[in-house]
Amino acid sequence: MTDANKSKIIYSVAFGAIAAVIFITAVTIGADLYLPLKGWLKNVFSHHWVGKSVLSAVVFGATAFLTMIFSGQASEEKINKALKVLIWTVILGSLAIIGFFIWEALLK
Amino acid sequence: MDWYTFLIIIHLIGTVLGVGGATFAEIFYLKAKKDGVIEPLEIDYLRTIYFILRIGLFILVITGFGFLLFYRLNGYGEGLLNPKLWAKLGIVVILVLNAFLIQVKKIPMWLGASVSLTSWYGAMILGSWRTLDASFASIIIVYIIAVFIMAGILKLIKRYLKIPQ
Amino acid sequence: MLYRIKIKMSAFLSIFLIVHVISGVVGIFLFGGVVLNALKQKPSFKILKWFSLLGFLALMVSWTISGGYYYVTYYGKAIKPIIQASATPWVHSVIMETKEHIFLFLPFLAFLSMLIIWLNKESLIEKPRLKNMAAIISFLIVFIGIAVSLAGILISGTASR
Repeated sequence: MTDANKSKIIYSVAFGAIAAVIFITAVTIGADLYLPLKGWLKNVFSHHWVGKSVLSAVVFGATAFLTMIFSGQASEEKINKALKVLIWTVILGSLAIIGFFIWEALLK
Repeated sequence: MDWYTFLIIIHLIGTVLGVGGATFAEIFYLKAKKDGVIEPLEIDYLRTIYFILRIGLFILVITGFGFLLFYRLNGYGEGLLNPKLWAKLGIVVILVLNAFLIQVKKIPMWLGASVSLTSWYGAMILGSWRTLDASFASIIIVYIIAVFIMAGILKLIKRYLKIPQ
Repeated sequence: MLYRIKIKMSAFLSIFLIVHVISGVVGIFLFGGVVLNALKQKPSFKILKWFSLLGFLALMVSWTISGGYYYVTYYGKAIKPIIQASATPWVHSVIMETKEHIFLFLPFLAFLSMLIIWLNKESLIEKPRLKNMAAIISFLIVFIGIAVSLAGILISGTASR
């Protein structure tokens, strides 16, 4: 495998991970604020958490695949930037989730 | 032999490797620094000790969770809320984070070494002292004080052995 | 004083709980090894490769086969009502809810960290920024993993009151 292909794969998977983290954060908060969404996840996947797990994997795979197809060359600079975005997305996503549940349970 | 006894034995092996490893890591580090030059053989010994120490930590963490699962599955789960247990968990987390900070050189060595030794001995004492009845906060306060006392002791040892800074 | 809890768990579910906890802890530990090794000036790529792969597999087992099954089939009907009826219902509504969702980040982070290491192997030493990124991502796995583990202990303890 060439270096260019390896870089493109890492770049694509990084984007997939960013999309998955954003999706997990959004669907976690969204499903608690909009109960029909939680109901839909339960009906289709038998449990809302299973639905979130499956859909996050789909979002991850689809985003990584599309990035692989449509993105150009992935330089080291681009990859490092994407990884930095991922790291910040994870930190902010975690804070958003815990903040939301604290608000919902204790302050709402 | 029942599962509980098995866990105790393996946990003790982890304690011996971890606490012993941390102690000898410090002793060999001070010995290596005494002549101002850390030689390749001395680095090799230190590397070996750190490896054994990490194996000890792995054994302790796995068997530690083994104990928690044992309590949970045998109806003694309320012990999982014991403040002494949470203080011990807190100290183990500090120990792990300290290892990362030492690796990236974001903590001065005098503090890193002191945190390491105090954490290892602190976790061992908390695990052994069955009758200790103290709050989480009081244990952590004593731990923090102990870290600085340990730092002071290590400084005195270095001065006595005339180890260069 | 230790009190016997009233919930009876089948042997099958007990095994799933044990596998969930132990595989999760092993996964966190292995990624801890990835962090410490990746931060060295001369990392061991054998350790980086195998720790990242085994760590990823361990986290997948903790997520899907064991933890997921235990959570979906047992937690909701047997544990959640007890915690919600207790003096500390926030242990479910804040701690467990956070735990079950933030945990979902880990398999994707683990896969990426493993991929960076496996695709680059020894050439990673010529890409220090990428190597450090893999270390930071692995550190996030460890940090979140430790938080999730501690949350699990608190939840189990509360359910046993």
